[in-house]
Amino acid sequence: MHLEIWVKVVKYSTTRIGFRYTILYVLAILFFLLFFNSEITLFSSLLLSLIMIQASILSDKQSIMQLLRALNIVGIRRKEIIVAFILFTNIRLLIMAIPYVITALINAFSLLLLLYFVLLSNAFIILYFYTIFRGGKE
Amino acid sequence: MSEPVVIVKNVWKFYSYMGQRIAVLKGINMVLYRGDMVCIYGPSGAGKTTLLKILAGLVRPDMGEVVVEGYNLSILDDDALAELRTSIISYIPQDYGLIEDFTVYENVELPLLIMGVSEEERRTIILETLRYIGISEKMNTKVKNLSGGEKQRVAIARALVVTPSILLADEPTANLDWENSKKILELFTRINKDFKTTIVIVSHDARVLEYVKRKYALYDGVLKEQS
Repeated sequence: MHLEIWVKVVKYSTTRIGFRYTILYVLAILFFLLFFNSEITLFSSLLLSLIMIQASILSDKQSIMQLLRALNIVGIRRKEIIVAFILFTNIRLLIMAIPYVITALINAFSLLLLLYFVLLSNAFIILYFYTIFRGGKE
Repeated sequence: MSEPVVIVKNVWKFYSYMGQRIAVLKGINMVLYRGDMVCIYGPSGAGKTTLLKILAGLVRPDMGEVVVEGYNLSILDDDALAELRTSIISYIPQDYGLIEDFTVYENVELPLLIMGVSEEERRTIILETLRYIGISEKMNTKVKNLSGGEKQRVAIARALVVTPSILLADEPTANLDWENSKKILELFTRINKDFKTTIVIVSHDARVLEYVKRKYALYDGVLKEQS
């Protein structure tokens, strides 16, 4: 595996516009979870988080395609392209999980809800990734 | 004639369009030799890019076989094809296939990272290549701030950095004015002469033909060598 490439991919992901949106979203959601703490807020935020992941990926679609295409041309293996994509997107998912972790620590939210968030978000990312690769020609 | 490096035997490629199966390549046969410099020309939609992608191992033919440096691409799996792209075959797409927000250095570095070359060695190779290509002064410039001609040079540097035996260029002059096109074609000629690299250029521009040793015409999926 190519550690230096993965570091570049993560760094690249954090310098894209979608990552800035994610940071803003995380700050807003943290505020709501801390000051308007209720189950409705939590569930709404989980739903919004899924939309946010999608928005974040879509806003960087061109960058993602450029990165994956360049890697493919220079001869990185297909499964490593998958790793690159997952790294690019999951770094945002990790950032998004921070408000939930903080809230869970402060308010002792159910860990099951956290698990739900992580699983659902990952399922979404995998689905999105599958669609991209199925449609990819190169 | 020197040894053959690419042998294309009866290659067919089909695409589906509106429920119909359309043949893009119809029984292509071609032999490329070490140190060859070939142009495949023809109008848009003739199948030139498809053929080039098949030679690069990016697309698989539906029928026939392609043998590159003794490797039959038709039977290799995706990982083996990827490995060939880091060692034997370099492909330059029409839109350069660069990462616009990476610097010139970072783009050229990618194949060497995949090959696991050490940092010090990478630096030496990249500097040498950039100097050869004539773009070393832009080493730390982001690709998005370069002109079309400079981007093409970066793409060539990235392709050349692994010292491939076959260099495939898809419409390298399509986005350039003729002055820049001439410089790029002269660069290909120099690479061919200095490294004995087999170069295949796909183009619809007849002016490219002046710079190559052999020419093939591709019309409606049928390839014919021209004298």
